[in-house]
Amino acid sequence: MRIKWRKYRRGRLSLAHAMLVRAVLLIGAVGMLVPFAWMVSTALKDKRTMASEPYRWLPKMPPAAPAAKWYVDYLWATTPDFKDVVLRDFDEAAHRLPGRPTRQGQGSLELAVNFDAQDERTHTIDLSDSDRPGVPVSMLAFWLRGDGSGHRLRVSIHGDGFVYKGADDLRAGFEGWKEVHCFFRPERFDPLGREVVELRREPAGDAGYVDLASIRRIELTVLPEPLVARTWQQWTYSFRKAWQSMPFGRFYLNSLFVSLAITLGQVLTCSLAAYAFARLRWPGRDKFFLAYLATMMIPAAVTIVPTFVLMKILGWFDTYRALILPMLFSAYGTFMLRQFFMSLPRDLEDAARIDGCGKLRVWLHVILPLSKPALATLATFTFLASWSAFQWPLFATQSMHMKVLPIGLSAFQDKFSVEYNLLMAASLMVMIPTLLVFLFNQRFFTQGIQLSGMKE
Amino acid sequence: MRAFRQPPIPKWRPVKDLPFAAPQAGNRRAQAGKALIVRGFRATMSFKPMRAVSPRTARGIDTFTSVLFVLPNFIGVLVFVVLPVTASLVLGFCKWSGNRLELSAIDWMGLANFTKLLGFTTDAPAVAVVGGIALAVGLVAAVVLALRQRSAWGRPARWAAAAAVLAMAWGVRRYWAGVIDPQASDPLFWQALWNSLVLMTWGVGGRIVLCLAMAMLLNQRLREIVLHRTIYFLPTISSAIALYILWQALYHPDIGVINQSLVAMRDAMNGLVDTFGGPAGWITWQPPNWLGEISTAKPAFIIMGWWHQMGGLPMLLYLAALQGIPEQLYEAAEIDGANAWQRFWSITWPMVSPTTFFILIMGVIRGFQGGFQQAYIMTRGGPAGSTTTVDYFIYNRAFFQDQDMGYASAAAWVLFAIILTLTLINWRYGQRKVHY
Repeated sequence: MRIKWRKYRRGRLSLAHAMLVRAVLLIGAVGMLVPFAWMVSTALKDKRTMASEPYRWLPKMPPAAPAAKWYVDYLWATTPDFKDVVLRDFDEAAHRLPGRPTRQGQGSLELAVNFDAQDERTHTIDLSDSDRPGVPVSMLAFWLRGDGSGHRLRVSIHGDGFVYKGADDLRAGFEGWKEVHCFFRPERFDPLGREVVELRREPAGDAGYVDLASIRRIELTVLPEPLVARTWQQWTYSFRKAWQSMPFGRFYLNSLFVSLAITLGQVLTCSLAAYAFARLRWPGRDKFFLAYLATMMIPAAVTIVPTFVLMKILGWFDTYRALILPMLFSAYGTFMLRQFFMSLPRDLEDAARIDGCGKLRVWLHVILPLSKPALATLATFTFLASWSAFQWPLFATQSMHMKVLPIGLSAFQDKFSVEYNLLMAASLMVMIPTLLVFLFNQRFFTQGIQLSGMKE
Repeated sequence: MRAFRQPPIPKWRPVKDLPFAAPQAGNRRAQAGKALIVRGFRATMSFKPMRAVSPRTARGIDTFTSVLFVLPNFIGVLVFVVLPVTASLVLGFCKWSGNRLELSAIDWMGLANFTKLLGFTTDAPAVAVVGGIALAVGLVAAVVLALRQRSAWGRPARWAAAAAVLAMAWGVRRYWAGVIDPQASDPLFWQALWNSLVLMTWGVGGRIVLCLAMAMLLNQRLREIVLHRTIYFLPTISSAIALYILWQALYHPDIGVINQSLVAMRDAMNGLVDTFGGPAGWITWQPPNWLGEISTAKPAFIIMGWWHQMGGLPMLLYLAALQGIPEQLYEAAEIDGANAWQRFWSITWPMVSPTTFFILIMGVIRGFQGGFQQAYIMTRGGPAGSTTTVDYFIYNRAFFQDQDMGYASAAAWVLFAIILTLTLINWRYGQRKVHY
């Protein structure tokens, strides 16, 4: 059963017929592609431009003028026991609700730089005159409003004998107010989706916190950026943000490892069993095989709950073993390979047996090389199925570092349920690898589907 | 050494050296018994050696090696399928939160889980047990009947199936007598069943129609057909979770592109009405909040499923089936003067009916036991339980809501029974409709 894409039934279509078919196909294709296009378009935007009226399919370009304008307000610090100390509040009237700049920035500290005019680029917030309590602080935070121009802002803290510089620069790729948190020792991933800056000590050294009273001044330096880089930064904002908010790299590795292990294991165990079912002769073989087939009818809902309990009892909950082992054995793979093995010619096998091959050697050197297409199909489908498996990994794992990609994506959705630009960026990151694999191996996929599908 | 056809190996030599009188060879059973005794005697007592090569080995039967081959997979299936299924059946009669792993934490509930699920408020549990067992045995027997009609089990299986029918009839009679009370059942479970049924029916029906149409469109002689195939196949290959998140956004009442385009269309119509002198703002229709309203949540799921499946696996199967239809049939029909409509109904549709049947069965099985992912990602079973499928109901009960593994297992077994019954009905009556 295979589809020949180039050899068509019947002769050339009449012009009207061809046009009609083309039109219908085209309308359908647009309908198929619009959701994907919306996905890409949303992932390239930020929160403000997403709800623009009328709808824009392409994200905005940052302004070409070499100028940047920032507003800074409401500096505060947090002690290790999570108490806030307000350092500067430039526009106190705006803060009816504490910590929420509500106006458009009047009264806030304005950092406006024209890079052509060589304006002052470093703004200093002097804290040396205020009388502050001598408490340790682990985090410094302020409200920042960008203008969407995409230039960089560097934070550094100067004190008695130390300088802390921000490891990453802030980008003014967003419009509207944002909370910026500068940590002396940040968490690797920030699940709250804040703007996070890691402060690094110069000369190198490590301290989890500094004494508040010894901070003399905070310097904010505005740095220019070429238009191409700004555009790139702005359009990839959602992707970088998503990548920083959750350990997607770990999710990728988990998914890859688990899927590869399941694929290898299934191909191995299923081909062994299929060989015994197809070629070896032993009492009760066919009845046993029928029983094997019957297990395919059992819905997953029946087995998942007790398997979960089994994992708990064995102490395998939240480990790779729990993710891999229950998926390693499948009746379906055995069935598919058995059907294929039955169709192989016996002569080669017999020749090998006459030459003195044992059964295992026949399996390894005759059967497996002959059935490469079937093995590849089984491997492809097992890999895809385990790559996209959702229910079992959802129940079998708990901690962040054990999540596979779909579960990680679902957890990401729980955190950022309304920030559609981040959601779409994360979804795209999850989708792109399989899409790439598919686009380059299309033929193989479709043929594999036909090979496995109709024989059931 | 199967290549060489060996001469038939003679049976074991006639017994002469038995220390006691062997049973007379009156019937087959006695003969078998005799053979058994002889073999046992030879193997254990006799001083005569066994034959060097037993007939089984000579025929290529090597149980030991074969079992070694099957063992890795079989152990896995045993531990992760057979054991859980058994445990699930036992759990169905218990109440257990799954938090404490001691036996004392498990309460025996008897049939309470099932009666609560289905609403059997029977006064005689023993009767219900007998009826249930009859039903179960009958279903298994029906499987045997459906799979191999001429097996040695045919007669007992037929009896058991008849018993199952009787049990069902008895259930209906009890229902009329007022002993089975649907009002006393778990309304959420019945709602979940109904939801699953609706989603499955529309999903499978739409899939068959759309995929066949798609396959017929893609089976044309056009240059750009490969591009179309790729585009229509994209959703199948994309991560399902990512697509559900995407569709949740598409169905969003404000920023979703569906409602935005619906509103745009409405405004355009209003503008048209205005241009021709009609009343301003004539159409006041508001697009629905798709996933937020009970009446539109299920249609939203169904439409998404169609989009997802339109160019996927069923379409490829139909395409393969269409290309397998011999050209002569169409030529003959054209000579007879059949139009396109007649050609479709008398040639194409019957010729692809095995594929339709396959898609139907797989759709019913998958459709009834699916729906967890959509519900979990897009609606969490809401609004008001209108997208809670049986699947989601089971996991919700087991892991999220009540944490009652026993109740969830009982529900899973009810689901299993339903799927089995539907599959069997499909097998028995669907195959008759399949003809070339």
